[in-house]
Order: sequence, then C-alpha cells, then structure tokens
Amino acid sequence: MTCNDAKEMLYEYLDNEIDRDSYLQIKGHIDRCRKCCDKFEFEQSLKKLIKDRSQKFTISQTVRGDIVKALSDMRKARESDTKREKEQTNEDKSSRVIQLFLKRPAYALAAAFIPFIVSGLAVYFAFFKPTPPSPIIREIAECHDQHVNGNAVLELASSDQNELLRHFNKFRNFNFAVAAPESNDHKTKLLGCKDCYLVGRKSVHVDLERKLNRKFSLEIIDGSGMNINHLNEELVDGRVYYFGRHKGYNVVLWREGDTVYSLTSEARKNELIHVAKEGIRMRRGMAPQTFFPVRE
Amino acid sequence: MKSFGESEEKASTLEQSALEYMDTLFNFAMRMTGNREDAEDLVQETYMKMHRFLHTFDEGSNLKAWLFKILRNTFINKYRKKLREPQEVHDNNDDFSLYDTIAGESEYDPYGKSSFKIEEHIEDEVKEALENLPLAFKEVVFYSDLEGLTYEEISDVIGCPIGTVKSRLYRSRKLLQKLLWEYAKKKGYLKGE
Repeated sequence: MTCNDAKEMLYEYLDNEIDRDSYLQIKGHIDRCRKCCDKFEFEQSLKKLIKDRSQKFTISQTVRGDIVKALSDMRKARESDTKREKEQTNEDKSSRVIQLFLKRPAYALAAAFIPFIVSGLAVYFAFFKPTPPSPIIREIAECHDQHVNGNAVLELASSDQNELLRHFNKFRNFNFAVAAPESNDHKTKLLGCKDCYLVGRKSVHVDLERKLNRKFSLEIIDGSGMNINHLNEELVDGRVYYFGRHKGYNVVLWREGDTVYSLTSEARKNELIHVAKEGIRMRRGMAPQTFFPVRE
Repeated sequence: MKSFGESEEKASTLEQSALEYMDTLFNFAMRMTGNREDAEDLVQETYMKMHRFLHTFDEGSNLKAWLFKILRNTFINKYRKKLREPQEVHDNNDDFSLYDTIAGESEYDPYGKSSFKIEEHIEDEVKEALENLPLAFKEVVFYSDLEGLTYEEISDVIGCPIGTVKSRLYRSRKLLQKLLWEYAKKKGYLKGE
C-alpha cells in the first residue's frame, strides 16, 4: 500500500466504514510510515475536535414540557378515540342483529329455540346418554340374535316337555345345577335347547315362543362368583331383576343361588319380567324316573 | 391484525425513546435555522409528525436517523431551502489539506521529536467554521462527526446514494479545514503567509 492509497481511504478509515482487511492494510501502512501516521492522527484529532468544540444547544425546559405534554395529550385522545370506535362497532353489530330479527320474525323465533335445544342436548348427554352395554348383555343379545335369525342350531328341537327334561338331565353332567324350565302358562311354548358358553361360563340356551310367534331366549348360566350388580336393577315383587339393552333387544337377568337366568327378546322390559315370573317355572332335581325308559 | 393494546404499547415506548433525542434534534435545528425560535418550532413540528406517522416507522431501522429525516424535510418545506451542494466550492478546495498547509507553514519537521498538536493551533474557530459551512455540507459533517451516523444512515436521511455521501463528506471536510485555516490566520493564531 502506498501513501496515496492510504490517503484515499483516510476518511472511511476514520469513520469506521471499511472492512477488516482494508483496515489491517491501512493500519500496517500507518505503523510503518511516519508521515501518514502523523497525517492520520492529525485528521483524527481534528474530527474529535470538531465534535468537542462545536456548540451544544439545549432546548428550553418550557418547550420541552410543551412537547411532552402535547404528545401525551394526543396519545390519550387517540386511545379514547379508538375505544369509542370499538364501542361504536359493537353497537353497530348488535343493532344490525336486532334489525334482522325485526325484519324476519321467523329468525327470531328460531333463535329463541336455540337455548332450549342446547340445554336439552346438554341434559341428554349428561343424564340419558346410553352407556355401552356390559359384555354379558352384549353376548346374551348376540346369542339371541343368532337364534332368532336361524344362524344357530339347537341340539334338541322339541316342544315335548319330557324330551326336554331328559335332555336337561344330560346337561347336569355339565357340573352345575341346571334346573329344567317348563312352560307355566298356555301362552308360553318351549322350542328346544342347546348347551353353550356365555361370558366364558357353562350355560344352557333355551328357545321360547310366546303368542304371535314372538321369540324369546332363555339362558341358564353358571353364575357362581359372577357379578352382575353393576347392571341397572329393579325390584319387582321382592326379587331383583337386572336389565340391559343391546342391538334392539331387551335383556332381563335374575339370580337364583349360583345360577343366573336371562330372558331376551324384542319385547319391553316389563313383559320380559312378566314372562320370567309367570311364563316359565324351573323344575329342580332329577327328572322323575318315569321319564326314563324302564329297564327290565 | 395486531391487538390494539400491543401496538399502542409499542408506539408509546417508541415515543419515549424519541423524546430522548430532543436536544440532539434541537442542536441540529439550531445549526440549520440559526435561531432558537425557528429551531424550537422545527423540533415541535418534528415530534407532532413523528406521532402521526409512528405506525410507518420500520422498527429495524435507526430511530434517530428517522427523526433527522423528518426534521430535515420539515425544514426544507418550511423554509424553501435547497440542501444541494454549492457548485462553486468544487473548484478549488478539493485538494486543500489543513495538515499539509500547517505543516508547511510552520516548517514542520515530519521526523522531528515534537508531535503536531492541533489543539494548540485552533480553538474557537471550529464553531465559526462549522457555522459558515453551506447547509448541505454542514449537515453531513453534523451527522457523521457530531452524531456518529453511518454512511448508510446518512444516505437514508439525505436521500442520496452512499457514494454521494462519501464525496460530500470529503468536500465538506476539506472546506471546513480551509475555513478553519482562514479564521485561524485572520485571528493571528497561526502565522500565515
């Protein structure tokens, strides 16, 4: 770098407007060249001198106060303006809504119903929302559905009371006390039976028919240690009936000792309880000897 | 859209920072107008404009430079001044160097022991010389030497390319040095010619 190169960059150097490389080059030159060093120092002190010796004026306190006050006043005015504008737009909005309702009363009527609909929905979801059926209700309903739709085959298809009784004696090998059901009134007819498993327990399924070909399913389930207390319950004539609903079928359960019975159909819950109470009865113990073939 | 409260708060903070530059702005206004009354009017007007246009201020940029720009434009509009470089000074001042002149006059020995002390040669001339610079020169010297704005900020304030800023600063300094020299000579501080 020559003295002329350095001189050309003099002010950019003093004003801190050069990149690092140029700075180092100039610095290197100044350190070596006494003449340039003096010149740069002179210019630097002159720059400083101009800054230091130039007159410093201060604005009068009155004017300063005026400006500060004017600014704060304007800011306050603007703030309240904007607030008022905001309120104005809110008013506009609400008055427009009122105008619309005045023009179209039907809309107002519809709007009036909204709170009722909303509260109705809220009540429904809070209190009447159907809870998912328990596994036992689901299985019993599915089993009934299969028998009603002919997807399941009975082991014994017979309405003969004696035949059924004999078959039930066979079920006793199942190892749980199966009482054989019998029709208790002329309206109820037994159609047949089969053994099966429900909720992992040994059970016997019985098809029933009531007037007008209405199909019922009676399940006799090994209920030892089984808990059905979580189901909805109702006390009828001193006996607890549990019930549930799945797939459009009503299921009513009751317990006798270690056996759980269930009755399933499309019929209403009260009718199911009626059938359970009046339509069928359980015969306990072994069937009478006379039902068996007499051995010589 | 920014919430009203948020932008309002930001504006209020900016205004507070702007108020800190009041003396700086007044200083500049004094140099441009030359009397207190006009300078105070200018500063007042600058703050009112700032308040009105604060929402247009780009937050990444230099608030001080932005305020200078407002004041400068207000000054130009109000006093119908043209802050253009005077043509005549171009001719013979470009090569003037105070250092070379003083060094030459005082038979300065570049390799001697005593270093050249500028303070010993010029004192109050600075004020006078600065005052008598043409406005276009005065303002760039003010921005750069007194207020420390960068070339880029100056170019933004005066609305000229950086190259123009550089050359104008160069000429301003040369002229200032010449004026300093002349005043010092007139007052006899320096033995001239």
